[in-house]
Amino acid sequence: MATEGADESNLHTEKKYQKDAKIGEGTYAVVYQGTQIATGRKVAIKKIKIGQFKDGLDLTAIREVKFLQEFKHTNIVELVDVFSHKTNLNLVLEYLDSDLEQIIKDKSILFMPADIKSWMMMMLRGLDHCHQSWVLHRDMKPNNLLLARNGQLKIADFGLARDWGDPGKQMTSQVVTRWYRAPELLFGAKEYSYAVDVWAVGCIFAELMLRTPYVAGDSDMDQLTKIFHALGTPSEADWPNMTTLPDYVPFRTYPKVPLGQYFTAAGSDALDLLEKMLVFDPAKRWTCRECLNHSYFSNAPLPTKPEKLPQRAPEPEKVADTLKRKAGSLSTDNDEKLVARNKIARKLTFED
Amino acid sequence: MRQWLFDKEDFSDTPSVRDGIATSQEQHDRAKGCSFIIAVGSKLSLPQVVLATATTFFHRFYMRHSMKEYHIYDIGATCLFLSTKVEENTRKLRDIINACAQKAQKNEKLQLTEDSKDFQKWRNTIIFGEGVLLEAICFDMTVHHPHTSLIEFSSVIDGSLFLPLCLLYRPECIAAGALLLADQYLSEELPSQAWAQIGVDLEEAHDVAAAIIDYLIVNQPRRHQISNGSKPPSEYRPNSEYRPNPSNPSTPNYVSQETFYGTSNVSPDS
Repeated sequence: MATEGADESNLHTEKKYQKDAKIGEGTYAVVYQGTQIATGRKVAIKKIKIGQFKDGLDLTAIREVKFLQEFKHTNIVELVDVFSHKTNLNLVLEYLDSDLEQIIKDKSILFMPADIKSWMMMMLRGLDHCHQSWVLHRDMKPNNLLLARNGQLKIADFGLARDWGDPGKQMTSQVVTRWYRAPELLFGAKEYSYAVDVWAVGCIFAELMLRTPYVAGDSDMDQLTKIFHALGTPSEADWPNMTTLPDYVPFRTYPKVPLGQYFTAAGSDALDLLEKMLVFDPAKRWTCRECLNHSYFSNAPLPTKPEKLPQRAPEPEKVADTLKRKAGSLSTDNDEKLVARNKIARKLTFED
Repeated sequence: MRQWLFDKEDFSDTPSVRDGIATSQEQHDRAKGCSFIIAVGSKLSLPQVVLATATTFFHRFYMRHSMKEYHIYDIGATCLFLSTKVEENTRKLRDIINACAQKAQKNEKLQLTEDSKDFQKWRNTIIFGEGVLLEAICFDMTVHHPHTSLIEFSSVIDGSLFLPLCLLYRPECIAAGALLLADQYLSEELPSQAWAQIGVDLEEAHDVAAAIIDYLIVNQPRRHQISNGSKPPSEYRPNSEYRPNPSNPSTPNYVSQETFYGTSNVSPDS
């Protein structure tokens, strides 16, 4: 090992891949379809320009490489290789055709309850793996959940992810796309936990059942109003420390409505799990582990086998569109920093 | 991780050595580079973990590049810059550059303006160096530090909570006692599996202790004044008084040895 120079080893890595057609271009990155020459495996090569940032390689790129290097899990997108070429950083990622958002929006596809259960299980397994390693994803949403040809769901886009578990460490509350953002973040919490990711997964669960975003606010205030409208305004007993959060403001008291009134087609075990994921008090919200042990997953119908899940014909042009779109479009419009951050994050998502 | 563990013999065949630098000189300059990183990092009030990650990057870098090719201060600055990002403790590049310039030129009041030649030089060095560094460390940015393992070892200390030790001794003394006790476990036939359970090789652990004590002895007069003025022991003899079975043949004996680096003259400030 000590004898192989870094330049040689990098060159060696580069030569292992063949860059094929460009499949997308954003402001910060270009994505190519590629082939791993030795195996013929299809990959996505995401080229990030290093030299163009004032502060060197962007933090989101660093986070993405750092965490993906560490994670090897069926339900987390695989970083196959990294190499640099001149002043570009190239991430070689597994090639994935579609994402969960496309499937949800494609109304020609019919979901069975067992399909939803299967996606939920894969999502929670991948996320549990992150949390067990003390990493928060902080941007769980359907279009960051990619789907492989064999039906496996893969969590992608670690551009906002970070280590967590350092007590008292302040973190920004400006994370997670608004519709999936937990109430503690909307109230400006600077110390938070795995619970923000679980809330987002709860919202995705609801969206899979409804086929439309569950709580789609158009500002942070509106988001909270819609959440309280849907789930009832929490009392001091429901969420003891709520009023001490930095951006806390009192809201109108909406009554608590049983979830079954809105999710008419859902089974009682599904609704019970959803309720556990959408608990207001982050300390009482369930962990991924607890969710995975919920009877919902062991009750009939059993989760669909991944390879039997509904699929969607790949449309390369469409994927390229997603890449170019600015993710900031769903974020707080008054927070330019976040918009900028999300634009950067966009370059790191790897819809191919 | 494995690709970053070397044999001691590899120190005599590094890129710098192959480039004509003596092993002793390289080890000296490694310490000097790390000392620079720590000085700049302290100036910027960076937490310990950022400094530990930066020095790890630095040491790994010179297993793949020669010091003749890349200057230790240039790489030291770049390692610190990357480490602030990896460990989520970012500082403005401008502040890092100024701290580097102050420490490198030994002028605490130095402030470079952004359009000055020196500022641009540092900036370009760091930005360019970042790519070279990332390649050299194989984009492997997750570093596990011994500090974390020490916290895991603290289960030994947890076992002491039942005793009123806190009424008798200072915490650092209890910690040292726990380590000694843990070490004693090591050398006994029976409980040694306790160390195997946490993945520690006894022989390696003793090597580490010997290397650290060597360094402390050599540098003690300048850098490591013990607060009460007492000199550290000239040898490292684990459990010499605690071991119930002194005839244990596996008992290592660590006289200060000059073998670890092939030199004993490492003083980074010189």
